[in-house]
Amino acid sequence: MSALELTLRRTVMAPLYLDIISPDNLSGKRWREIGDYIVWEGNRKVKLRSLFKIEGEAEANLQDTLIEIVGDMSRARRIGYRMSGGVIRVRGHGGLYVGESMRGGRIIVDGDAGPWLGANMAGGTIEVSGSAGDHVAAASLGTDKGMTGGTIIVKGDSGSQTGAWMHSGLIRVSGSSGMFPGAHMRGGTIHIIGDCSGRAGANMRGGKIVLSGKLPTVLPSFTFEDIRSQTRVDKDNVEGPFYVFSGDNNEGGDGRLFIKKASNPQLKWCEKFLEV
Amino acid sequence: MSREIAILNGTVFDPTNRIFGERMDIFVKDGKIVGSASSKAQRIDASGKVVMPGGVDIHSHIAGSKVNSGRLLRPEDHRKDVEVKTPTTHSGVGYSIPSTYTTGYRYAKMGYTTVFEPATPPLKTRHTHEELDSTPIIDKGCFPLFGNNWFVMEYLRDGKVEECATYVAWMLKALKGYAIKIVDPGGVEVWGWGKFLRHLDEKVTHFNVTPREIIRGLCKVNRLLNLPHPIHVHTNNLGNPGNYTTTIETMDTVRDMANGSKPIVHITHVQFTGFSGSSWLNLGSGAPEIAEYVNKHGHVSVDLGQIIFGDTTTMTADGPFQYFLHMLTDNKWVNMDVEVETGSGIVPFQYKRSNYVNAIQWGIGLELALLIKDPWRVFMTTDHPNGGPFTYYPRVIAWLMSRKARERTLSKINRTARRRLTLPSIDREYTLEEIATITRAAPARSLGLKNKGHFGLGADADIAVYDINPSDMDVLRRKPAKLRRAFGQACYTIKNGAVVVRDGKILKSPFGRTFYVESQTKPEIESNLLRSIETRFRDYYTVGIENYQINESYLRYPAKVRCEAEI
Amino acid sequence: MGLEESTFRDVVCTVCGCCCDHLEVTVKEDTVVKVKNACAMSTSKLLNYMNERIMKPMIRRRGRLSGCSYRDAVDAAAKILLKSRSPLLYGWSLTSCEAVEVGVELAEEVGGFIDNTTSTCHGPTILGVHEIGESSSTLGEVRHRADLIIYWGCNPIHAHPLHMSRYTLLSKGRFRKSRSERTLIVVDVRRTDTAKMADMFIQVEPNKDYELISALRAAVRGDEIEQDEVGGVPTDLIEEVAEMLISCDFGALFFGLGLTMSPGKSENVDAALSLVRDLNSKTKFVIIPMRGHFNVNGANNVMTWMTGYPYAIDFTRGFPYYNPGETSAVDLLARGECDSALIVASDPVSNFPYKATCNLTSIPLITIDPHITPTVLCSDVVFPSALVGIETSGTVYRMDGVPLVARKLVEPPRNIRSDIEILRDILRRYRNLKRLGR
Repeated sequence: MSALELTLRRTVMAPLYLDIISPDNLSGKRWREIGDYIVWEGNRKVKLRSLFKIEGEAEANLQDTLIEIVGDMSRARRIGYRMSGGVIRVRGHGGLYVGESMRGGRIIVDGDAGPWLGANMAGGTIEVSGSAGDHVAAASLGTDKGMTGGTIIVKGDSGSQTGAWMHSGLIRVSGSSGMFPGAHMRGGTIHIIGDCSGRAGANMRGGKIVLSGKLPTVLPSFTFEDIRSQTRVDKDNVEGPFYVFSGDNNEGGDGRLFIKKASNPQLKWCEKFLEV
Repeated sequence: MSREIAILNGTVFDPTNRIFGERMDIFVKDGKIVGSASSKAQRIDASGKVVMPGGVDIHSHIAGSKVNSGRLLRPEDHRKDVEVKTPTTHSGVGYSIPSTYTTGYRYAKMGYTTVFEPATPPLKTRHTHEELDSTPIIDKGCFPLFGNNWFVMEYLRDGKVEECATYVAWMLKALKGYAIKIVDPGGVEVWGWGKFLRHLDEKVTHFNVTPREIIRGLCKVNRLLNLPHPIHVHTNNLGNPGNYTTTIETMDTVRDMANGSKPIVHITHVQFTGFSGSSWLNLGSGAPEIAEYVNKHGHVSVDLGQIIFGDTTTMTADGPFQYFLHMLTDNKWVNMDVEVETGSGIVPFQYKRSNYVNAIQWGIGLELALLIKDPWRVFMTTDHPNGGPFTYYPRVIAWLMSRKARERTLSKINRTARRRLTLPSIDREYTLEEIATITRAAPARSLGLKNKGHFGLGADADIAVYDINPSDMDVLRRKPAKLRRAFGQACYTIKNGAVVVRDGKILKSPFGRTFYVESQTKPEIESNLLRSIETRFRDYYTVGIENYQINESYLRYPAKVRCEAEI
Repeated sequence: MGLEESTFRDVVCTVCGCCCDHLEVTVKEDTVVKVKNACAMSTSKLLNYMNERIMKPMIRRRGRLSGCSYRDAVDAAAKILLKSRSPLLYGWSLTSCEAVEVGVELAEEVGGFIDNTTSTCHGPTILGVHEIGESSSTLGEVRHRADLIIYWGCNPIHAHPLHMSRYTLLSKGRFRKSRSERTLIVVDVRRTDTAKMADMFIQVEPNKDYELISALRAAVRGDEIEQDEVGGVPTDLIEEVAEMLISCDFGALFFGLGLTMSPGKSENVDAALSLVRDLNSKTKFVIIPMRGHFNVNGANNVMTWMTGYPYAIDFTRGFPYYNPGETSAVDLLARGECDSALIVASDPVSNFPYKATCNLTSIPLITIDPHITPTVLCSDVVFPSALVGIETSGTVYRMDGVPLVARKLVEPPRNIRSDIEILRDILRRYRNLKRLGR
């Protein structure tokens, strides 16, 4: 399939609102038409053409549409907003709110992504080769529904509150994570392969958090349940053994924390609750 | 621009002056209704259109600390409904708790020109006035809360009704308030300790006074001060199954004080206190019983508090009820108790058609409107935003005017609720003059606003022109969506003699006036009062009496309504 | 305001969020000569407000700030804003609500960001409220009813000196007459002067507030805590405290930056709000943030009623949009997304993180302030302004939302205008220039 390529022409010094860039909006459009699209650069409306060199063409079929964005998009917002199919590839920083409310398709960021990666995501896949900021898969302010489906894979680290208010779907972080992964979580799965700074699963009511690295302490509002030799994340088996905690009791929750035993000798105290 | 306007050939509804759909011209000069206009007048062709006085909303939470706390609580509410800046309007947000500018614009677009904020905690009334002054176009006013005020409860406990009246008169003047508001009398004080009060004759902890004594006492005070509006009561037990008996008991407790045919008590958002049954499972509509009482007793008026299915934000000074709602829904909750005076609570809420209780509530509001015979004593409100945002008024109007509109909604609500409601058997459809009565003439009269809600010579030139051809009423009743559109977007809204809205668009947004009441007591009485409360005021409040009072100069356009007290 | 000595009573103090309104200020020859009833912070402000004042507008020319006419300063400011794609209007907590109103209008007109100092103090509190709500009350309720008072991560003896005597522990209320009828619990990472007055001091390990609140919530629910200690506090003690919380008649939790600015920020507040919410099913409990500046609450309130949002508002696209972290001053500056800034009564150059400060000082900067500050010295246009509550009047909101009018006591120095006047003039000039298409 052929790609539509957008290459940033100049440095942008103001917030750039790029919610228009999604396969849903651009598939089947001619480059001339795309160049005429208006976006906000700070408080000015500018044509896409003035920001990007536009090459190639977008496929007519949504699923086959590939959009490649080249350049530092760290001041951009909402690339891939509400997209339902096709592929976006960003070569460079992806900016804030990459793939917000995404419903399907795939976003690949060859670089880091800013905060709110995949916020309110409902379906599709996001892969980030670098690190992601805070609030991965988060809910909009004031609401209690974050990610409801899809997959987010971060090869580097993720910030704090990864998967807050998550209801369903999968987040996998290969590096370490900041505080509060899975805060207020209602369902779905989060797997942090590196270390976590703490407070995993705070206020969670459901769902599963698997921590293969170190977690300083478990919140006091969790109950130690068992030791398990392995657990499943999506279709894969992850080898433990794991300490399994349930909680967050403060919210009457029934979520599960799987914490790798080998990485967390400081949690040995919980073994005294094991029924012999 | 010409200061004269001639609205020609419209079909005019002015129930106050017994004009029921006559083809006639209305003339405006310098902000007032006049008998004729010169040839220089701006001419508005209203042929084939309905002309009514500007709408008057007697009960809508649009300003003040709890409204703002509601805004603060709900960024998700604003996000889905934004207004972009235009050359004639400021930007803002909706939805259930619009920002101040947006509130003014949206009322004006519906042809409403006067709105009263019905619950201001006295200590924070300065905040209420700041917001009202930031709300464009409409005239407004606010009702300070008295039903849980320590001074009031102490005076009434000691049987000192005249002292109480003096105090209330001073408060209204000091706060620039308009009427006496009573919310869950005694109940909010008890909530200060996290406890609940259930009966009209239960003593308020530490104060040795009952809700019944508070209501009767303030009703007497209202009469002694000759205030333009009767006591405005949100009864005890709001939101509890079976509470319709409390409502009737509350109305009946002041019956002996009735004075001719003029209402002396206004029961607000009566839908919320119109539940029969003994639990949520057998909840029913108490509307027939309440309507029967209202039909037989001229001393009462009510407003609906109609609910609208969908998302909204509930907010009242009834702190204990809001806590109950929070426990019921598990939704986020704000509570704000205010020293010496009152409390408040806020909980987001979703009314669902499929929910049995919500469907019954929807039916209660409409049953009340349709079963109460005298449109002069039942006013249309949604208790904005408690029953739903005020922007849904056109929908309520359509339900009242069109049986078909009701049937459409009825067919979608919870089946058990539908079976238990009287509503399906009610044929009544409101006429345009009845709508004009319940949305402008009657609330204006109830508020004692002599220059509002009618087209008599010298009345304020607040006018709404709607794209409704009265000869098409039968067609419109079958097409409620058209009716809704017409009432949702006025062809013209004229405020104080200026065209502010044309075809649902804001042309300009001048600021309206703020009404407040000054009841003249004998001068020595007030100075005695101030001397007598000086020490107590210092003991009770964390602010000084000097800083508590609001000068007239603090308001942008103050409009004083004077009355003579009998003390 | 002449040569004779005159005394103002019931003066509202404009230092901290307590907004004490019982000051007595004596004025002679347009100078404050005596202050009664005030705390040391307040007295010092009232007696020394003329120190380090800016006396005339300034513009940076060839790298140096030099005096200019007011008109030129207004013109320069309007031109900076006119050229800007992404201006930031920041500060607003040390001025009146009336000035904030004009500020919001200006932000809307220029299509910029408006943020107040909340975003660097109690912003997390507001984020917590968005999720949980809050069970709160005015300070008078605490005075009359509270038999249990908690100060968590705050030190009122130094930051809010009259808080205890006017509103809480030492105040005389209707149902609580004296100190002996109240219990004080202080939670902090070190034994502060406030802690020394406590009936119970709980020393929490640094950055372990969240864990401790979680444990308290669990204990209040009656759940067993499996760990022997949490955040350095033994579980037995946590259970004892939980019992105190449940068994009081009316409890009040006050919290400060110790909670909002330690790691976890909004989640810390979230937990505290949840604890208090939970407690209301057992007894009566309220929570009140210890707001710092005298009108930070007012700035939040004005912005909320005008735009729906309390701070960090983005007007660039012609409507209010809000997302702290994205639209808040520090984050915008750290990402280098603003190309001009207008600072009103605040000193971000001293307070912001390094990267944000670097970016702030590299863009055209307009400052309105009564005093010489590092921000003023870095500015391109400077307006001296009159002090609210001393030289000009205005509405302010106490930490619990009680609105008060801070009065004018003396005339400002010659040719020094109020924030409102300056902002209105910039707005007017901006509109004129825009109409002329410059």
